[in-house]
Amino acid sequence: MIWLAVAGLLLLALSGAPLFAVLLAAAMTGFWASEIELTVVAIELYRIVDTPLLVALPLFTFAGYVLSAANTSQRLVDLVQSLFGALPGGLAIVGFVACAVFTALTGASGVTIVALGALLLPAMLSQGYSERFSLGLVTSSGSLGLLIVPSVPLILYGVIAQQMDVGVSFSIVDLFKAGVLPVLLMLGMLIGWTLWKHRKGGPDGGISRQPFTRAEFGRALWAARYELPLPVVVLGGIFSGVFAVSDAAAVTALYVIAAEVLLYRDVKWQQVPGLVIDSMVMVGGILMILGVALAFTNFLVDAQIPQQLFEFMQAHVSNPLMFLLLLNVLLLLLGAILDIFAATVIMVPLLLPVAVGYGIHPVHLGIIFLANMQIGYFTPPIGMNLFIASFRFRKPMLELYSACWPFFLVLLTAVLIITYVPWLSLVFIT
Amino acid sequence: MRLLRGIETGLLVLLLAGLIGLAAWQVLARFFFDSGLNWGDAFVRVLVLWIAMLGAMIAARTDDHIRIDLIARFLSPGAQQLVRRLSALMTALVLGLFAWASVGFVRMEFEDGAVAFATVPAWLCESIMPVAAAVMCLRYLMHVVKLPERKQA
Repeated sequence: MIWLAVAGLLLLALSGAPLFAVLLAAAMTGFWASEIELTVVAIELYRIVDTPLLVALPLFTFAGYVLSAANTSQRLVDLVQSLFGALPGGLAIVGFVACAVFTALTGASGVTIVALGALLLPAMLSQGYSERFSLGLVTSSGSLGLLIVPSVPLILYGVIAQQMDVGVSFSIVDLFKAGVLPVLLMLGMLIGWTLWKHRKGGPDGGISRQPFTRAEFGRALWAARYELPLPVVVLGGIFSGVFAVSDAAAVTALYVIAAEVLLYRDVKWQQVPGLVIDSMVMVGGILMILGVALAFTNFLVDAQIPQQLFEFMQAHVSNPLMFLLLLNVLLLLLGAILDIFAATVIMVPLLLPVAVGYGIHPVHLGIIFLANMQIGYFTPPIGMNLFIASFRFRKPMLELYSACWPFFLVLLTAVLIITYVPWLSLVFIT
Repeated sequence: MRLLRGIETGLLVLLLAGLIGLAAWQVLARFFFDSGLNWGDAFVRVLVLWIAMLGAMIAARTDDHIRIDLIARFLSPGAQQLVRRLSALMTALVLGLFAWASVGFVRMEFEDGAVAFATVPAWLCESIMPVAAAVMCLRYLMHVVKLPERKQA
């Protein structure tokens, strides 16, 4: 009977029913089977209200949508280019850095590819990079900032992990600090590989660079004058402990409205309601899943599923390194088929107790989890960013697969290093 | 239905504006005057719930919720239609059950007379849940009859 229910739910999920409905059905079936009143599911959903950190979610998401609608992408690329454009492989470096920053600010919703890809791709082609390399760069960098504050998946992981009592406490700021070195590692390896690949110049000989001029740098700096204080306030405020994360989110949302609508006037007032709707549909989707997943998780914990899972794993896999390897494989697969928010909400409650049992720090697990998901975004056959890039640049999927795989290998190596060197994630945490 | 859409959209914009304003006010007040509205933080969190529910309701208009789309890609258009109708029906069913369960929750809290913050009763804050579930249930029932156009990524 119970297996029939599980099979039915799986079928429902795979046939494209909304995931919140599947989780809701799962939770209600579970509680019903244990003869617990279904009212408990509503009580669990209402727990959204008990989580102060969640306030950050709609605020950061809305700010991200406003920034995407404004010309922030252009100003960001100009600024980074005026700084790094003179270096060898300059424009590629510009691409990586700008994509990482933009993704962190806007959430990895594919908007990076749409907004930055449109700027970077023509620029890279005109400077002599091959089309294949350029396409691969913009597609694979569309999820590069996932580990940087204030990325929404990072916050979501923190919310879920803190809901669970696994015996190792950490703060959300610990999680933010933990992302710093892994991101630098990924950027460093991507840039290193780019330089090595182009050591003899581009396909047609030389790759042109843009010489550094103070005037150019000054102009880009001046153009970005209203946006520059934003990262300072957000990062400085959070890391110095002046702001709680939700405080920083509130200030960010207000500031972004002021900067883009009032000062730059990139975004018209009439556009704002549309942005509200688009961003909150996304937030509603995420929180709906989160809310019902809280109920579902509670059922799982009551039924001691994570514990059984751990005992099963212990019996078959005794070595933590082996466990980590399996974890990587599993997460890569999941990342390719599941939306990142859904994957986080469903998998973290199952994985976290098991991982902690193997002596893995929850913060380290979070970084491993998201780093894997980041690659999943452009893993064939159905990584989301591949579809977005294919649609946006009018290229067949196969061409994108072949453009992305070198980037995939570089980032996979980085993820393996991040997985097996916990120091990278935990060095700033006491 | 058009009226409902208008109310949803208007309320959502209003609530988000309220959320940004109130949350930012709390920060500034704490920063400069070392004080803030003592019911403010609780109110802010209830606003988040309402915004989430309204967002979910609007997402249900076009069946724009997060899903795994694995099988559908390999089906014929006819079979796809059938599967989508079936999953819409199941979704409506689940939502109907949930609406009923959350009515029970709201009624329980109403009888308890629990207070969420200041003098606002908890049941009022919670009332968005059955309403949202009922509206979404209705929308998915309509999707069974007429499938919505999917947004292209």
